[in-house]
Amino acid sequence: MKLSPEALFVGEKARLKKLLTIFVVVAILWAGVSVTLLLLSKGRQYLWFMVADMVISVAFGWYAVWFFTNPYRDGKNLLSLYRRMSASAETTETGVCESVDEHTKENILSYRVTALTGGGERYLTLLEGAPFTIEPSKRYLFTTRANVIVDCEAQDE
Amino acid sequence: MNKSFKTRLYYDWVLYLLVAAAAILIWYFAFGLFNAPAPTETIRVFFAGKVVDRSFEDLALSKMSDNGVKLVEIDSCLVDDAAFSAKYAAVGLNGCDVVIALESVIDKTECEGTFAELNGFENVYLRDGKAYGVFLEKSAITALSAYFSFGDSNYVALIAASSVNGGDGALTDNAVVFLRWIADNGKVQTHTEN
Repeated sequence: MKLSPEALFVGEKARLKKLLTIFVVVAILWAGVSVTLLLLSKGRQYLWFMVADMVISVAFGWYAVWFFTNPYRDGKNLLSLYRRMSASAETTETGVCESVDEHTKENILSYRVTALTGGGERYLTLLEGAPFTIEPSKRYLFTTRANVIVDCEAQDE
Repeated sequence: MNKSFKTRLYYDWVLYLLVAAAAILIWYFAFGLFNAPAPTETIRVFFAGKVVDRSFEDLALSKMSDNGVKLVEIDSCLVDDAAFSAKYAAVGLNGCDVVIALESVIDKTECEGTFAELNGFENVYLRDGKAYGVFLEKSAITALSAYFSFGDSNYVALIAASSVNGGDGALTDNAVVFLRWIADNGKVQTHTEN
């Protein structure tokens, strides 16, 4: 099955939108609860209201930092990659896979495929979860976009 | 905790620290501001001299809490301080409810419009036939000297005209009650007497 950058882009965008919606809902809940606690403290001993507000605000703050530095940033990086893939032309080349190593760039987990092709040694990227497997020492017909393998067919020796 | 989170935590830990500190500080100030006693729940006293023991604030608060007072604050300035005139005018006459000062200081102050007229007090400070303050009697000064450093001169306690607790257009009579309490030396008790 061939990878479609456009479909991946749409899927990732929907996932990111869902994550953002959850974040906004949590933010609204946090704001509501903390303002309510502030209002409830009027005319009372406010120490425990203040401590409760501090605790939920620290928790929300950490969640916000985690959200924007982890899943949100990862999503943006993936969208950027899919956009680059969509914009680039498809190339096809036959080569022998020399090695497959785990590789992380911009927090996108993928596999670096070192392949010996007609043009020499090439480093190709195989996205995690791609619907095909590549094994070393086998010959494949690689279809790539922006150096990312979107399809590969095993070739007879 | 996955590997990428651990890696990023190495770079982003400052953000987590800053967010926690900001959340604690913001709520600390927000609750302080939101629950700050209203001017009608606060008695601010300006003393022209040295405050020896600030526990008078607690003593006065315990006496005034039945009147809905939540905070008693004392501001002070030595009469021979270079900034006395400025602080007396800005803080004492405009920011405080009750002013306790030397008679000589009050003599130099325009009382009309600055201090509230008093009724029902004895041993009053008069100006143009109107009572503006109460002289602190020796017994009152003796009782208060545990908290304030008094000189040999006469001291007068007055209510600022701008006070919402006893001035012109006052919302409460807390400053009048306070003034009556400190002027009535029999009811002023020091901690040792307690």
